[in-house]
Amino acid sequence: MDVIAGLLEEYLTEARVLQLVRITILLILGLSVLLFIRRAIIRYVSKNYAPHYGMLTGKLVVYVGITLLLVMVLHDLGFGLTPLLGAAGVIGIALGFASQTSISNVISGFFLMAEQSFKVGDVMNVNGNVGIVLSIDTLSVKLRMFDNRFLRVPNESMIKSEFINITKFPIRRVDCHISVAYKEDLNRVSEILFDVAEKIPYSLQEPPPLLIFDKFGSSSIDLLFVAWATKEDFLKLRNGLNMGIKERFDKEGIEIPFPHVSVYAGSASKPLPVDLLKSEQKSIRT
Amino acid sequence: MCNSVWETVRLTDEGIVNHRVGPLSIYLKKILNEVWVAASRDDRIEGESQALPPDAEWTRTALPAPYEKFVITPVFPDRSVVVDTDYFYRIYPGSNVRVYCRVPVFVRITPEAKPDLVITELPTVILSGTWFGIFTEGELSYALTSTVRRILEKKHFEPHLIVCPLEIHNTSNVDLKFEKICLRTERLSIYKKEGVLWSDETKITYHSKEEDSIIEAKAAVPAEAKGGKLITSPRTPVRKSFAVRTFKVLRDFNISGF
Repeated sequence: MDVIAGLLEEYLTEARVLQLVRITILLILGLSVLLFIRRAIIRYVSKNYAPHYGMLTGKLVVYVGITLLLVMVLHDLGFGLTPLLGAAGVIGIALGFASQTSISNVISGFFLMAEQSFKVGDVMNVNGNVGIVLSIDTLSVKLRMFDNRFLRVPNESMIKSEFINITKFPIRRVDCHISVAYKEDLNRVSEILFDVAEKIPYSLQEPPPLLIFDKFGSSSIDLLFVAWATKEDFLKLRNGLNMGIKERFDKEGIEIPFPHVSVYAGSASKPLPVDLLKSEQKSIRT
Repeated sequence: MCNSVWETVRLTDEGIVNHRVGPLSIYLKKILNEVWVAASRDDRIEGESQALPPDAEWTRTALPAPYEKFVITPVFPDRSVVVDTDYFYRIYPGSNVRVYCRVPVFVRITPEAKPDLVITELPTVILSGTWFGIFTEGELSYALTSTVRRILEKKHFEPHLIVCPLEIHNTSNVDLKFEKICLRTERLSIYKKEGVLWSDETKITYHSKEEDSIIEAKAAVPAEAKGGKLITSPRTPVRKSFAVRTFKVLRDFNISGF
C-alpha cells in the first residue's frame, strides 16, 4: 500500500492534476457541445431535406468532432501532431491488413451513400428479405423486416448483390393473375375487371388499368390484369382488386376453374362415356 | 339557385343538424366542446338532406371551447384536378380559347369564432385518384371528366360546382393537342355571385412541348362574376405566374408502362 501511495504521490503532481482536470473538462464540454450540434444538425437537415441526409450529416459531425477532441487531448498530454500522424500511418497499415473486410465495408458504405439507390425509410428486397431501411451505417445497412425481425446486411454484400428498392418510385403496379374457364365470354370478363378497378378508390385512373391475354392454359384461359396505385396504397389496392374480382365473378357466375383433365378417345370418336354411380350400386371391376 | 348552402349553422347539445351541399348531406352534432360530423351522398343536388344512414361513420373533434356556431364554406379540392376533356382538343398555333370547367367543391367546417380551426373538409363528390406525370415522378391528383364548355348557360350552375374560367393561348409554332388539363386549384380563390361559385380566371400560355406551360392566376374575380364576393382564399399563396406541366395526351402512358 505504501508503495502504491508513494507512486501516486510521485505521479500526481499539482501540474498533472491540473492537466487531468483540464482534459476532463475539455472532454465533458466538448462531447456535450458535439452532441448538441449533432442533434441540431440532424433536426435541421431532416426537416429541410430528408431523414436519410440528417442521419448521414449527424454521423459525419460526430466522427469529425471526436477526431478533433482526440487530437486536442493528445496534444494536451504532450504528443505532437507529426509523430501522431506517423504512428497513425504505421497503425493504419497494420490495421488495414488485419481488418480488410471491415475496411471494405466502410468503403462500400461510402459508395452506397454516393450512389443513393436507397435511403432511410425505403422498403427493400435484399436477397428475398423484405424490410424497411433503418440506417445506413459505416459497416452495414440495417433493416426492420415486416415480421419485426432485424436484418443486418454488410455494406460489401449490398454493393456486390442485387437488391430491389420497392418504394423508390411514387407509383406501383398491382398484378392480378386470373384464370377463367374456356366457356366464358372474355369481353364480359374484361368489362367486369375494369369495372372492379374503377370502383376501388385506390386504383389510379392513370396510368390506366390494362388487361393482357396471357395464354391458353391447360385448364383455363390465363389473363393478367394490372392496375396502378401510389406506393402507400399498393397493398390496399392489391387486396381490394383480388377480393373484388372474386366477389364479382361469383356474383356474375364466371367460373374460376381448378386444374382438370378431360379424356377423349380421339378426334374421330365420341368421348368416353362416364356415368356417376349411386352409392348402393356396385361398381364392376373388369 | 340556393343561397343558403353556404351559411352558419348553430349547434346545441341536443339534436343533430342536417345540411345539404349538392349531393352531400352533412350531419353535425355537439356534445360540450366536442363536434361530431358524419356525411352521406346521393344523386340529388338540392332539397332536404338525406336521412341519417344507420351505419353513419362519425368523426369526433374536441375543440378548445364549446363553440355553438359553425361556418360552412366551399374550398377547392386539396390536390390538383386533372380534367379529362371528353374529346381530343386541338388548338392551332397563334389561337386562343376561353373555356369553362366545373370542379366539385370540398366543404370546410370551422367554428365561426375561430375560422382558422378547420374541423373537417368533406368532398361533395368522391373523385378518383390519378397520376399526373411520368412513372418516376409526378403528382397525385384528382380525376374529373368535364365537358370544357365554350358557353355557359344557367342550367350549368350547380351549388356544389365551382366554375373555373380558363384562357388557353397557344403561342408556339406547333399544334397544341391534349386530352387532359391539370388545374392547379390550390392557387385559386373562390368568389360567389348570386349563389354561383366562381374561381379566379386562369391564363395558360403554351410555348412549346419541351417547356412547361406558363400559368397566370389573375387573382381577381372573372368578368362573368363581376361584383362577386371573395369567400375563400387560395390554399397556397398566389404567385403572379409559374411554369408547370399542364397538358397531357393519353399516349403519355403507353406500353412502356407495362
